[in-house]
Amino acid sequence: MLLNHPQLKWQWKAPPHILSMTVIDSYVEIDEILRSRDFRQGSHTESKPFFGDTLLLLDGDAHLGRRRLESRLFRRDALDYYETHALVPVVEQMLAEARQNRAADGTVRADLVPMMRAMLHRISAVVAGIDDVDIAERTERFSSLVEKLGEAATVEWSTRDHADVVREGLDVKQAFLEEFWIASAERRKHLAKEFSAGTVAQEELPRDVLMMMYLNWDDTWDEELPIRECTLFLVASTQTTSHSLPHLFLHLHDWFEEHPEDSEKRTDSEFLRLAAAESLRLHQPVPSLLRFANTDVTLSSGRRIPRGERVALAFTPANRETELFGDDAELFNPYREASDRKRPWGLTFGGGVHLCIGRPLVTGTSTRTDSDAAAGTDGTMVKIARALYESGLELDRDVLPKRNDTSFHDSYSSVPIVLTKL
Amino acid sequence: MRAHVEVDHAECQGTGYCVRVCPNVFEMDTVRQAARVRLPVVGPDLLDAVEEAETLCPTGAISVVRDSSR
Repeated sequence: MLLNHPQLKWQWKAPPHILSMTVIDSYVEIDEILRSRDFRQGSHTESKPFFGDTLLLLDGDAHLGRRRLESRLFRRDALDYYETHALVPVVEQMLAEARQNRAADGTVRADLVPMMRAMLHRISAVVAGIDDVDIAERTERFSSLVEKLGEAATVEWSTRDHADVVREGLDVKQAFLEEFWIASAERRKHLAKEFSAGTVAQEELPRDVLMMMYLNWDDTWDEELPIRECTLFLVASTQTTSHSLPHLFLHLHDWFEEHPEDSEKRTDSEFLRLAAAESLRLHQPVPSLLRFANTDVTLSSGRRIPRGERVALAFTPANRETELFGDDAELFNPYREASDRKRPWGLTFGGGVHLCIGRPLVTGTSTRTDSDAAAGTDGTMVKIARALYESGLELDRDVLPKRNDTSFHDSYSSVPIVLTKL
Repeated sequence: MRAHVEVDHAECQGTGYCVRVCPNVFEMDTVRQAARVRLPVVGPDLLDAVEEAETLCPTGAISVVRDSSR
C-alpha cells in the first residue's frame, strides 16, 4: 500500500490560522451552519486584495444577484459545451504534448501534478474568459502566474510568511494583467458594445465569466472587480480539482493492488465516478471553511455561538465520521454506502448558498435521476481519469510522490507517472 | 410547451433562492425549511423563470422537465 509509506501519511490538524477560533468538526453541526442564514462568510480576510467582493465573499442580496448572473455559465447546455469543446480537446492536446517527451527507452514519463494543473488551467481559462492559453509555452507561463496568484489568494493556509506571499501575489497580478488579462478584457468590452449595438449576435459571444460581467455591467462595481472575479474562478477551479486528482490516482493505485478484480474498471466511467466521490470525501480542497455568527446562535446540538464569533469548520474529520460513513470511514472504498447518497462526497463542496458553483463541472451531471440522466456530463475528474487510464497511466515505481509542504492544503507537489500506452 | 417542475426534498437546503426568482412556482415550507412547488406544471410564460431557478439552486435540487408533446 503506497499510501502507508511514512512520507505520504497525512493527518488533518488545525492550521495556525484557525487556532484562535472555535473549531467545529461535527458533520451535523457544520451542515447546519452552512445552511443557516445566521452565519456569514468568514474566509479570506488576509486575501481580500485578490478575492474581495467576489461571489465567494458576498452575502445576502448581493450574493443572490451575482450568483444569478454567474449560474448561467453552469446551465446544462453550458456544461455540455465546456466538456465537449474545452475539456476533451485539452486532455487530448496535453496527452499529445506528453507523447513528444518520450524518453530514449520509449517510455513516456510525466509528473501528474503539473500535468493536471496545466490541463485545468487551460479549461479554467475558457470558463473565466482568458484567451490564448492554448499552447504549451503560454500555458506554462499562465500556470505559473495563476499558481502564484492562487497561493496569495489562499494565503491564510500558507506555511510561509504571509506578508511575503501577498506581496509576491500583487507583483504576479501585474504580470498576469499585462500578459493575459488586458487583451482578453478589451476584446470582451468591445464585443459587449457590438452586442448592444446589434452588430453581434448572442451566439457569437464567448460563454465565460468576463463576458458575462461586461454584458451585464453594474455601475456599483469597481473597475478591478472583473479581475478579482476572474482570479476567483481560475484559482477555485484549478486548485481544487488539480489537488483532488492526484489523490484519486493514488487511492486507485492501492485499490487495484488490493482488489485486482476491479483493475479492468479503471476506464469504466461509473466506477470512476464512485471512486472520485469517495476520494473527494476524504480530501478537501481547503483545510477549513470559516463563518461569522450574525447573531447569538444555538445549534440543534445545543452548542452556543455568540454573535460576532468566527468558527472554523473542519470538514476532514467531519467527512470521516464513522456514524455516517461506517467503521472504515478513514479508508478509501469506492463502493461505500454513504448515509447521504445524494452527497457521497459529504461536505466537500460546502453547503447552503455558498455551495461550490462549479460542483457540476467537477462531478458531472449524469448521476442525476431525471430523464436527462443519459445525456449528462461525466465531469472533469472522471473525464481526465479515464483518458489517463486509457493512456496506460501507472505510478512511477522508481520515484515516490511528494506532499506539498508550502501549505496546509491536503495536496501533493509531485506524483511521477508513466503512460504506458502513449 | 409545458414543463414539469419538481423539488428533491432530500437535496434542498432551503436557501430560498428559487422562491426569490420565481415566487409564482416555488414557496418555502417553513416547517421543513425547504422549498416546495406550488405550481408543478408551468406554461411558456414561466419556463425561463423555472429554468433559472433550476440552474441557480446551489444543490441542484430542482428539476425542470420540458414536455415537448404539448
